Amino acid sequence: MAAIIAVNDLTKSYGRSRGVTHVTFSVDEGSVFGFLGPNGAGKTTTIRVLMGLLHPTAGHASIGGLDCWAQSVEVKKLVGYLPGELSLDPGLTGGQILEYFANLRGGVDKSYAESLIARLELDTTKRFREYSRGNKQKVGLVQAFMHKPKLLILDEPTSGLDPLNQQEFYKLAAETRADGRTIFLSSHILPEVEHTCDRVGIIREGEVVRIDEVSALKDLRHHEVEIIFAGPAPLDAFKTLPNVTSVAAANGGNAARLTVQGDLREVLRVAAERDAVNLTTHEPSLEDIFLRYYDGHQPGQGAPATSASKEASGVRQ
Amino acid sequence: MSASSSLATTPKALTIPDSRFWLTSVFLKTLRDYRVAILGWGIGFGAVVSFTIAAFEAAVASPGAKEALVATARAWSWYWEAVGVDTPGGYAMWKLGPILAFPAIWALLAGSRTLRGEEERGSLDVLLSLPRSRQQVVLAKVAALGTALLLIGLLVGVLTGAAGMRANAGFSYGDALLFGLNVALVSAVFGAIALFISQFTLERRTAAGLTGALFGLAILLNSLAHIAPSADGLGHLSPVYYFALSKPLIPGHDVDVVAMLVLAGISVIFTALGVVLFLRRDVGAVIPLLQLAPAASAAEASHSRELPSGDVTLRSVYAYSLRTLAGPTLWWGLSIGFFGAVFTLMARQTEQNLAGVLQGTPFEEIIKALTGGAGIGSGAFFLSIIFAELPLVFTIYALIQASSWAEDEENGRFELVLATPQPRWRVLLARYAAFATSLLALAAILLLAVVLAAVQQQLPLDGGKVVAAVVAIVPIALAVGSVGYLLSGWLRSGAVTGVLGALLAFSFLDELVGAIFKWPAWVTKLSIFQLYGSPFSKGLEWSNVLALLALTIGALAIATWRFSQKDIAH
Repeated sequence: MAAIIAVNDLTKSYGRSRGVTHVTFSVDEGSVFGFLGPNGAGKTTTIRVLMGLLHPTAGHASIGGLDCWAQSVEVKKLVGYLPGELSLDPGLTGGQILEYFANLRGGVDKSYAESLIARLELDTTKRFREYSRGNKQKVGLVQAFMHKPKLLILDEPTSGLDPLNQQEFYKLAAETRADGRTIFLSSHILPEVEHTCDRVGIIREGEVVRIDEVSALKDLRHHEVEIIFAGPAPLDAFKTLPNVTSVAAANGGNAARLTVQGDLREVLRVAAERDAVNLTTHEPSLEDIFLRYYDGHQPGQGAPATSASKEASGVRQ
Repeated sequence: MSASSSLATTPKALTIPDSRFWLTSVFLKTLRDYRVAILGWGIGFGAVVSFTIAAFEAAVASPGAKEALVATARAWSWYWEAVGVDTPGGYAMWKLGPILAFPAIWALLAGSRTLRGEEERGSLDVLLSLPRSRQQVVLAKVAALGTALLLIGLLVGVLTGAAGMRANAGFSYGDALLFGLNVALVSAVFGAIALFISQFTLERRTAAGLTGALFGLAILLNSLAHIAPSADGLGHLSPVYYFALSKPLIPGHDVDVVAMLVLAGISVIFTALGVVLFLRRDVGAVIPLLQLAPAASAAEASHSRELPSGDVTLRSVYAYSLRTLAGPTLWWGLSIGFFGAVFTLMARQTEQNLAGVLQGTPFEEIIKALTGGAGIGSGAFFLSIIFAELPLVFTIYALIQASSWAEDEENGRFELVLATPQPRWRVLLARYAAFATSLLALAAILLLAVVLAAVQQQLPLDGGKVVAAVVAIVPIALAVGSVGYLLSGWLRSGAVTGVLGALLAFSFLDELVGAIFKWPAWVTKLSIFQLYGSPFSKGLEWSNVLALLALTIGALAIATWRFSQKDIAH
């Protein structure tokens, strides 16, 4: 599939403060791409560069082969956008806001827009200032989807939505994908990304540290293994194994707690040879993987396995 | 790792601002928010008064000038009571007149922002989530506003006192401080009224606009009280009237303690009413005056899922911008039109009063020249003086609109508009075009009001020159607006207001005292108000209009280029 978003060595700096540095990734047409990262990591900066709201300091970003800065008007014909923070005229009703943006887009299919309004159960007769946070978000979602754009760029789309409307959004995302259209979304909700996205990019401190298929991230098999022995745990026997990245004693010395990346067969073999009586293993969720990248923030710890992970997962840089 | 050692290893988390003292209470934090305004208004306004006091010596330097000044002031006593104009203090009071109460403009903006502005931003919710009563929070904020006004008054008093000492003006530092207190009190009245009105409005700007209109009305009522003794009762309704009763800067006169107590009393009453209403209502709600919106019927409820259509004001950025400007245009238009009509109605009577004073003096010839030969009696002289002040009013409107452009960007209002396939230049020019349309509407309302009043009074005015007097204002306001848009390309809204306000203040001061101080010609020509010309004698001066239009186009071109290139604030 062709890439609809191509970001190449993108850097955006704000004077002395960091924005994003040397960000490179691409998003295939017809896919759902999740962009993850802690607060201030650079998600919104990247999104606003894509939307032509910020000028890149260096590098290049394009949508549909069009330069996001130089050809921003053409780019915006392809895109539906939901910003992270909605700031709209508080005196207009939801319906008037949607009509205004429909007009600025040269008109939309009114019946489709009304079907979105119905699905999200939005009352369009209320003024924007009277809406709850969730209802404001619904206005933002309808305006992003209503012109059936080729690409949707959504900054934390389910923020403020109740579980029922979150489910409705997931359905909308699935329909959009089935329709061959693309979604680029940022999120903090890992199950949402796991449930919605095909591929995920993780950004930390302005740098993309990992991009991969959601399934690949989960298949890294970064297992936490605890093996209980009849006697003292033979820790040295595990330390030499190639896939074992850490070994620690537990349970008063009768247990070994291992971190294993990749295949478990060698660990199982050694455990069986050394009189193991019980073995438990915990497969990491996407959240665990995500948090592991964030651990790099903790002072006193080494950098996360960024380089290794990049090599292992083939980050496109 | 203990919490303290953990913090010690993260310097960013430990960064404590030096201003922490100012963040220890709601009162201090609010006062801190006012620091720029306190310094800006205190020093700026104090400088205007001081300059005018200092200008007295030059104004009466030539032989007979003092007598002429006294005669002119007496003729213009409708504008501001002419008392002791042959002294520096009296001269400054008369020369500045209603401008002396202008710090009330800041007070009414701050008063409307104190509760309603914070409710709009949502910051009051957070503040009220703290373990403090609503009463404590609102009283702390009101106390901070009062303290800020007193500090502004103090700065004004100190600067005025210094100018008085230097000019040997015959008033003491104590008198100057009492003058500053009087300024603070009249400002507090309008701050309190804004606070009160904001309990009934959903938006801060509506409360500020209504209070601004009341401020204008108060100035007018005070003028009416001077023109017609029969209207003295109306003057008593005006806080500006009580403000003017105290004359501490004029030797032989003193403050009117009762008048100052009246001002203090009005402030306390409106503040108390505002606070009580706030304590009794929901945060974010209003005290309903009328049930304007009936409950939704079943038929309406069934339409709640439909997308409205056919609203022409939502068809483009220009149409939508016009929609948002409709309210301000209406209020400003009604106020300007009302003033224009009232002063036109007053023109004949005022000129008749003036004729007696100026008969046989060289001023008769000067007035003939100023009115293109019409002389006293046609109303043209009086209106030419009034119209000379109107560009200032229009430029304040332009300043507000330019600041709101910058403010919208800061508030993220462009985020979604620029996510639609609209070129940035089109968004800026559409918004500016709406502003220009609004200016034309204001000018049309003013012209209509003046013409109707002139017809009613059967004033023998030259219609072409009246039109020229109105039309000549528009390019000045257009130029100020475009410079505001230009500044918005680099500065935040507060700075845009500050810089553009300072430029206007300089222009105004230049116009006010430049000639008296005999500043070089190139300095006096820097005032944008000079370009208004003398439409009642010379008609529309096309060279001035073209110069202003060139400035407008140039500034707008740079503003458009900059807006197309810049990062949009978020």
